[in-house]
Amino acid sequence: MIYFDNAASTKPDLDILEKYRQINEELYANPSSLNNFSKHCEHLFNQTKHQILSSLNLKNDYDVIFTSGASESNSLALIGYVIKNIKKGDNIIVSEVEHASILNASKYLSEKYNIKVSYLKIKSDGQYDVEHFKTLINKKTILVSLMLVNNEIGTIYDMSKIKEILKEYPDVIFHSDAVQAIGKINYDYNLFDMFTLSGHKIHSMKGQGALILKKNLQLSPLIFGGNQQENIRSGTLDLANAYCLNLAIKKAIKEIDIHQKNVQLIHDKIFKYLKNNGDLYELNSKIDDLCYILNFSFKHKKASVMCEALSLKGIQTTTVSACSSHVDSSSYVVKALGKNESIYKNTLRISFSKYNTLKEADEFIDAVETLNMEIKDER
Amino acid sequence: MNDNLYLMVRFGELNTKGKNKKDFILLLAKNIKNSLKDYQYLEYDVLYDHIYIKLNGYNYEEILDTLKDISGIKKISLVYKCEKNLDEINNICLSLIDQTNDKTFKLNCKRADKSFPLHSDEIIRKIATNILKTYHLKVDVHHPDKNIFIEVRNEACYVFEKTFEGAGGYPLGSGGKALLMLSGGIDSPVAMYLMMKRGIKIDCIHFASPPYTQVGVIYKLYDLLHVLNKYQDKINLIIVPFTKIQDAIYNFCPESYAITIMRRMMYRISEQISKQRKCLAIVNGESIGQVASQTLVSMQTINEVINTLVIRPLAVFDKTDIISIAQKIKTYDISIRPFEDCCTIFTPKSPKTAPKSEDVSYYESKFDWKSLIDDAIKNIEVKLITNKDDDLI
Repeated sequence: MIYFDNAASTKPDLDILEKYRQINEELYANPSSLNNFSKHCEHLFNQTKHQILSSLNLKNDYDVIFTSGASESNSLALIGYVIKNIKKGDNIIVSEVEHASILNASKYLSEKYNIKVSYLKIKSDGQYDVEHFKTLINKKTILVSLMLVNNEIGTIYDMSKIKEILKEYPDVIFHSDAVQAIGKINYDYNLFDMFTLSGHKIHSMKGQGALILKKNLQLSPLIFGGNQQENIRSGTLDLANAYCLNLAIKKAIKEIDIHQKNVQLIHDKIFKYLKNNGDLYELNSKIDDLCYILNFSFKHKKASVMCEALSLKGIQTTTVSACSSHVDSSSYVVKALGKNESIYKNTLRISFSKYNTLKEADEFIDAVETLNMEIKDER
Repeated sequence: MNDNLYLMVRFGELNTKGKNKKDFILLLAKNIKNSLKDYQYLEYDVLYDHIYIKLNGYNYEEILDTLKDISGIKKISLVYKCEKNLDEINNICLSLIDQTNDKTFKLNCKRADKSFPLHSDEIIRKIATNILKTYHLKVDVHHPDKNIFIEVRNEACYVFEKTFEGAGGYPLGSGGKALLMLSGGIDSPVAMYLMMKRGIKIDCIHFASPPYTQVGVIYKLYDLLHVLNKYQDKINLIIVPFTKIQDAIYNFCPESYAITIMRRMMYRISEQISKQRKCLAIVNGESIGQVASQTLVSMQTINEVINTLVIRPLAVFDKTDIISIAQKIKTYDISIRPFEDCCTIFTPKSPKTAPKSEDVSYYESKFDWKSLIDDAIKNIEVKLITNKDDDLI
């Protein structure tokens, strides 16, 4: 099998799986309990937090809130912050290309709390429209949430001008969904007041997420219980999940440059093929986007049919992001680029990891070439 | 422009060190390199007056954050290095001017290389003339928007505008090693920091009385020392089993003398451990008058059982000043975690504030404390606390 759906989820590393088993076997105490076994686990839990902050090169004034994944982290960042700080203002800004968890949390805030949600547009080059941003931000804005790397097309967003504008609004909290960026680009995360990351996108397991936030921020909890994690996220502290997430972050960041070289070769090979066959394919990703994600559309085929056919040949890809696939088969991200309907309804996303090889890129190209002949043009 | 970017490190009180200065500088350079070992492409020029760190593309702010915590550094400047040539100096000065924000400027020049053909004033005048010709700027020597410094030294010329304060003090290790009595409270980590800043390496000694004291205290100490690893990357923590001694004190001595005698036992043990570990002094966080055992009479009665030098960096500090240092070095939040240590447990209702030496000796003669001390020292546990990001599990 060729697995080209790594932006949806990655294969867990064996050492991380083994560590998960080991911790559950040996260090299973509840870290909040009062015996010495628990205290030992609590200490390791706290140290784990420090290691994450250190891997991400964050200064001391950040904290880690462990969650069940990026969707919870994003929901907590938006709903938790806005509910707690609603007296400061009732406007928030998110981009129109955010992950479903940001868009749906925003919708919830708008419907239940009457929050005015402004949606930042992207330009045809994929970048945030800074001029548009200037018209959206105002004195009532309390939170801006903009993703760092797009999960569907791989755009690496330039935050410098946004950050420049935000300097004039020091009370506005800047959150970023950095799920697709962690371990894939070298980045200074000190830029954000809060950001979201996820374990299963970096070769750890599902069920592991974190919201990293500045210590002075006040958030309302979404989950109630024993007041663990600064009363922001109750629930028994999970040392195994926290530690595995820590390991995955540490490895991913340390190995960015090593894996990027390999992935770049795979990406460039397929990118070049698609570009040279412009009569068949429309590229939705650009050459300088994140090399781990490559999005294109079939000009004459239905993408869902091609995706299915590739899958039958053992090549796993996807049409739109897994989190939007239950709703609609068209890509709202590609639509936002200003492309026409036949393009944004027929996107295919292939996404890579350190486990992919150049040989797989060749096999993929062979497979789509064959399918191009085998599968009837539908449009 | 970027390949001539350096951080210029200026030394603190080393200039008073005469013949030893070179050793101090080499030690400081070693400490700096050790702290920055993750940045493998940095290059170092260790000279008699300054240490220069060539950035080779690294973000200077990150390096600066690390340098600010290294004792022995007085000031750090972000400098552009160039040939000792007026054109080059001129080009750098022009490039430093921000045309939108700078309305006024000032030039400062130091000419350490007296063989350079122009005097400081002449250099300033020539370059200022060029700046005035090129940009619409005015000179303001009192409140300039842009304040540029030029230093013409023997090996090269350096141009800079930004200078940052360092930690001061002496390079760590230059003053030998001392043994710090670490309780886990607010004071002892502050005392430790002040000693390290003065160039003294620290080993820590802690007295544990399980089950009266909780293991949580030990984890608290680990966390405190991890914070202080910023200043000393390897810290030994010596844990002394103190329960039997404490039990004996409470069985054989009046309650009001318990703290005095307990402190005397701690001093005796500390002295032996400090000799074993070649420490030149014992350090603690005592502050005059803070508690019953820290009145001058108490301190004398306690101190007289040993001959080793005892340093109390916080002796004359107010608690509020100690707290503000603790907050600055980020030990405060850990220190206030609610755990009882040896000193807070069994606290007598009315401890002696002026315990008489003869009385204390009389009560001590009632039990065989010497063998209890020997036993405790035999059973110490030593942990090495490092900032190395090792796998925890």
